[in-house]
Amino acid sequence: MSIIIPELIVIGTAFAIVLADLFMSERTRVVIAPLAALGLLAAIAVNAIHTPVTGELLGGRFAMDPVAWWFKILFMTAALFTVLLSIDTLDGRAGVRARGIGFRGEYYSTILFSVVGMMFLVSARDLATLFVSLELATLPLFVLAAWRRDDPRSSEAGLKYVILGALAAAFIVYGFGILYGLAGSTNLDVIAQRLAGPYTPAFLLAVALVLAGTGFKLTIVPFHMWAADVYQGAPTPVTAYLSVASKAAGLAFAFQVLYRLFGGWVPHWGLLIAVFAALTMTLGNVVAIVQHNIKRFMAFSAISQAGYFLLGFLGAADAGVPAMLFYLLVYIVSNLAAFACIIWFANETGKEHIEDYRGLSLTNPLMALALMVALFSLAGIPPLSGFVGKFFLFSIASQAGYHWLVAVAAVNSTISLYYYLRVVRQMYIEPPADPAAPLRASMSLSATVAILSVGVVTLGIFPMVYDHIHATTIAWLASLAQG
Amino acid sequence: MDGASGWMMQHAWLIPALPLASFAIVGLLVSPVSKRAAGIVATLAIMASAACAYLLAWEYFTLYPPGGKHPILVPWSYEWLRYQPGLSVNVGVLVDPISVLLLIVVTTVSSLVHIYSNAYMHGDHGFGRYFTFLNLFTFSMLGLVVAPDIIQMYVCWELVGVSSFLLIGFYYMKPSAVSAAKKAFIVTRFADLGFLVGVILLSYFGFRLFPEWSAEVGAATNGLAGTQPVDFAYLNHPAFLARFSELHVAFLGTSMLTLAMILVYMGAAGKSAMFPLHIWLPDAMEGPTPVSALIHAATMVVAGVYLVARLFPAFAYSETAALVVMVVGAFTSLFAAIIGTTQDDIKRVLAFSTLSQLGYMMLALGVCTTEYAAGYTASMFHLFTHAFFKALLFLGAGAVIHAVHTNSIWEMGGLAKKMPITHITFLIATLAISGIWPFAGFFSKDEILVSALAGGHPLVFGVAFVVAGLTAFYMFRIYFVTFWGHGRGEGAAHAHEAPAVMWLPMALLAVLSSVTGFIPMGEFVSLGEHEAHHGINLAIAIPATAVALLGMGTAAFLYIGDGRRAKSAALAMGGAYHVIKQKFYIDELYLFITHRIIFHYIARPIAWFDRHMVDGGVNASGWVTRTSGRVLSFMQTGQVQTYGIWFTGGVAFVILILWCALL
Repeated sequence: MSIIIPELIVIGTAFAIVLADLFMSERTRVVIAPLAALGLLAAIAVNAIHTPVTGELLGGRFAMDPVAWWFKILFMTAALFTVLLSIDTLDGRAGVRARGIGFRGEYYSTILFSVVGMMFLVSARDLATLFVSLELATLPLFVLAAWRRDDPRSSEAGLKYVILGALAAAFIVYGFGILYGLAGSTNLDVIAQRLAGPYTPAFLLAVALVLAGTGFKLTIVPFHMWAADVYQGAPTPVTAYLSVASKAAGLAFAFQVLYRLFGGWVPHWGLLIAVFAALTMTLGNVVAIVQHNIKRFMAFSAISQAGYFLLGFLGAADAGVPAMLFYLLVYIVSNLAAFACIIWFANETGKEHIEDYRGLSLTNPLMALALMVALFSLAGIPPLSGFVGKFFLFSIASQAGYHWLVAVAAVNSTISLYYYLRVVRQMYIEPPADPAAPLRASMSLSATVAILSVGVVTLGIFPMVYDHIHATTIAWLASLAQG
Repeated sequence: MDGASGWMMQHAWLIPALPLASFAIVGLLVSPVSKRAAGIVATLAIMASAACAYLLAWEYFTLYPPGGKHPILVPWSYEWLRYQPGLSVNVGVLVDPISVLLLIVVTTVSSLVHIYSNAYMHGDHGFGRYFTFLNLFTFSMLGLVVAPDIIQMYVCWELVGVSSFLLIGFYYMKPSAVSAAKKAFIVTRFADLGFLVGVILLSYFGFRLFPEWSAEVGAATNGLAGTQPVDFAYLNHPAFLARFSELHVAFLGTSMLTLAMILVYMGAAGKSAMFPLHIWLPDAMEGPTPVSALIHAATMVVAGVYLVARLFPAFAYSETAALVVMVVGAFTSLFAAIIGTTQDDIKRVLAFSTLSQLGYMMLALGVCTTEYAAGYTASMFHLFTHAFFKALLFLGAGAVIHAVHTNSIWEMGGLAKKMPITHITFLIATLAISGIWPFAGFFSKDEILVSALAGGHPLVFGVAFVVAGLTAFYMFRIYFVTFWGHGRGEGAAHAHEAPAVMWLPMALLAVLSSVTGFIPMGEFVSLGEHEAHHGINLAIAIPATAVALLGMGTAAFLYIGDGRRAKSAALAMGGAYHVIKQKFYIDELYLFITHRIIFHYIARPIAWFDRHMVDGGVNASGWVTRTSGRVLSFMQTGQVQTYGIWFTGGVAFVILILWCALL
């Protein structure tokens, strides 16, 4: 029973917020965000300290394992920081107040529902639970993307997201249907065993449909199209959440599909994965170069990062799983650090163009430094954590014999350095636009930026985190082999 | 090899580690909080290091008493970089007579300069920064001195160069200081390029020849177990040198050994400011005066001499390299002494004097051979005594400059009465450098002259003899002009004695300059068989003293009084005087070569190639990437229908790949 407590805490917090919101005056609603953060913090603590790393419930439909344990920590951490970064925007404590944003009770509870969906997703052991929890994780995101009701861009983002999301869901559920038809079971492990046979055209179709859906969540080219428009249109904190939590959920779904459902086949699909990894990295990076809107820019940066993640599926699972989990942690921390600065800047100035950042190092040197460090970590510059994470992934691809892919990835890293440096150049080299006064930053935001920046630096220097991930996930792999 | 005992021997790493720790602590923690505390902590750290150095010297010479054999010990070492089996670089501490000697010199002078600086730099904006750099320098210099292998030597060598650069450019708001710092760095870096190539040659061939060597000498049974191909113990081993000198460089017609040693000597010549790489040292006087005393007189500039002494067996094995050392040393000695007679800036005179004395030390190393190694002892002896009296001269000059706020000797004068302690100590140092009995310089200079004559180099002896006279002349010139007569400038009229924190170190150095000559250096530092040279060779000492007195007398004749005689003497020399005063136009020659020839005929074409070919290629790749980005971004039409089509197309693509790959 204890393995489901974190989920129950998050659900409880979400409902408590919805209920409390009904009876609160607008002025007292400021306590909602701290309440949400506390609920998440409690759930993280319970998950980290109390929850056993293995176990199952509901007749094996809900299971806990070390990988799920790590994913849940990561989902909740991403959500926690998203909540912290949303406070200023939602409470209207901003230099330039965003129009049509508010409804704090609904906002925070929607985020929490989506987190619960992701947590169930990674614990699911059967097709129905997997699909339902995927939808639970995704549907709130459509809502969040359209949160600014009177902003046409936000509405457009929500609409595009829901249409394409429905398309992806349709493909997935169609694929699942075929799988059920072929295997006669909804249990993932049972399906995996029964599918271990020769190829059939129906199986091929099912695989393609499910993989396309996975690619949608993970923004793999050519299933990435929604990302740029949605990232740009959504409120900035939501964009931050989409770029980390939704991507983490995508990776969790990919783990479920590629390691559990098609575990026996994946070693033969190296070429497929490599081609998509190369396409995703290259397209994301090349298109990012010509972007002017920083949110759209970060969207393409996130797309290219998804390509790096794919490298982890090329090698043996005992190397790939810890490497991908570690890079996910690094990516979440670095990307959130970058977004924290972007959210702050958008709050204070209402501007979203890269050129608007010029001279930031003179007016707000610490913020500029934090953004630079975060971007350099995403670019993979040593000794920052992004370098270490990429190093593990690249070495997996190289050990698996995909040297051409490592070369492509290295070239892409160089290209990415170029466009990350575009932002740094604006901040550090270009003079400020007008007699610029330093922009103020709220306590909560400054503290969040500080914590994330420390994480960006230290994750790369101290090897304990990776060692710990590696040690705990090895046990999971052993259980997979038996199952 | 490891007969070391005693606590200090085992913990000899403390000597460089203390300044390093202090550098970090003072620079990061103390300096931002309290500048006063920064000075005190930095000074205490160096004094602790000095105490360790004295203890080490005491232990070493108790273990191996003076007059006996003095083995080279490596009591502490640690594997730093392992390139491959059989090739690793250690960091460690090497203890032998010359490293002990240098440790004493460096820590003593550095402690005194630190104490002195607490007063001299008082109220300066960069007080904390100053002591941080000074600690860094002391650490680097000590690391260089105790290096057991050529790699550690090279690393510390560069660190010394960096700290020197930082300290010369300490007054970074002054354009002249900035350009002097750049000049020093560029010239010494240029020389270090030679050193680096030498190090690479030595390590490469050292590594190649290492297996044969260890088989031949039975390294394990010979007490050389654990020796690495970059260790001095190996590089100086006769068996290695014999093999190395058999390798020939076809296009130069010399042996590989000679080539490597001349390249190494290039580095040494840069750091010790030998002609024609001497041009940076006079300009380096732009740094604070205590820095000049420590770095550009007593310690860093002797690093080159020390390097040659450290690799002496190798230099001696290649006779050509030893000849180069001798000729360059003798020439620099004379050349700098001549320029020194005409300069007006008190620190510049001392700088040229330093050049001249460094030339002395080099020539002493150059004249000595493995059979007759008296020059080795003489050189180290002179290095030892010179460190004290030259540091004293600089500190004295610093006290004077501090009092009168000018560097020009013609604006000083009559300071003997106003600054009595400075006057007496300066006089002692002047007598010491001029080689007057019983001051320290007399003894060490005597040894050099003896070794040159007895080593069969009468011409070198002649040069050294003339330089002795010139030295006495230019030193007494500045002495008389500065301290005698009447105050000629505004500052000179209001000058007053330096505070006790400044004159105490000077007094201590004055004592050292007076008595260190009586140390029987041959008992402590000698090479191979113990040399039987004791006491003073009267046949040389008397003429040498006579020529020094002659120089003194000439200075007194020309410069006591109103200096009219000096002016007429300068006029009588005509153009020659002008040429000397302009330092033989060497700086102008360098400018001509670099600006007119190198920049014009070499740098411009390279720059053109870089701008049009290399940059063109880079720009083209950037253009391709940007253009493809622009084209690809058209894919992102903003139409959901398009996105849906791509999505569906992607599914077809997945099927296609799986089909092709698996069926």
